[in-house]
Amino acid sequence: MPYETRPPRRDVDPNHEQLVRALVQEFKEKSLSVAAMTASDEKAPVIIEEQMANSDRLRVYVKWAQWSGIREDHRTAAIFDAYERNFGREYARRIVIALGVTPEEAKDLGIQE
Amino acid sequence: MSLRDRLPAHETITEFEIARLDRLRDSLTLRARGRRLGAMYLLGYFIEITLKSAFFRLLGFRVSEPIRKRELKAAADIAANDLGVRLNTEGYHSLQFWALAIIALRDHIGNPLPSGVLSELNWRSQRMNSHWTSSMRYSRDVTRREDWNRLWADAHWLNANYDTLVGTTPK
Repeated sequence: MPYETRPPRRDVDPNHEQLVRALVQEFKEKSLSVAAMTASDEKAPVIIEEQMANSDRLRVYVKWAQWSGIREDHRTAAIFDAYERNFGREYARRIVIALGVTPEEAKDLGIQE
Repeated sequence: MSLRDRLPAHETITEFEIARLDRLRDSLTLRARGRRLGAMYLLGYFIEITLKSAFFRLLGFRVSEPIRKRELKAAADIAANDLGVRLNTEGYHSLQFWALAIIALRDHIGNPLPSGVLSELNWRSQRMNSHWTSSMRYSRDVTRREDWNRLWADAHWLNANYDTLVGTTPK
């Protein structure tokens, strides 16, 4: 009899895998230091990573036109998954704030590259 | 004695707790009568008061301790300056600001939110921000049923998780 185990089904965007891959690709192309990764290509995600004061915890903002039309929970899931895939679970656990924002939303939040 | 004179001289966490549930009832009353924008407007205040109440609890305020404009300003300054939470164009009415402030403060005091709640409050803060603004009171009703459904889902989640946010239930 065929036997297979499956992880719990997660509610993610239909293009979740592509979103995660694109973010991971961005990590690999730009060596992440501390402050910000800026993209020369306007269509590429801009990943802004801020370290919280007196702690190793992180605030992460991903500015990306691609988020338009993608649900907020799906954006956050893609960011967490991309961090975990690229940097490992321990590093991803340092993230306290993870927001995926379109360029317009970034402007409203005062997020600048 | 005018209404202004009958209003409390200052807020407290206790007043917040009463007011937030009053605004929730007001919102649901309007919704039942088909006044969706008004219902959403008041639901946003339910959310805002709930978030502020949680934040002041986390700051260690006693339930009867005065919360005046200066305490509100000081709390917002802590969130913006010490915790690095970004204030958007909505200013101190921003639901996203206070939601993220709770996440950051919980982490700062060494009692971080459980990861599932942290992730959910992150994206819900963003969704609340896109479905509510204090300036909607100046607008004709352009809301859609799904707008209400989303804001209501966020308000309901917030209410159900309030004890977890303020750290009074085990992780």
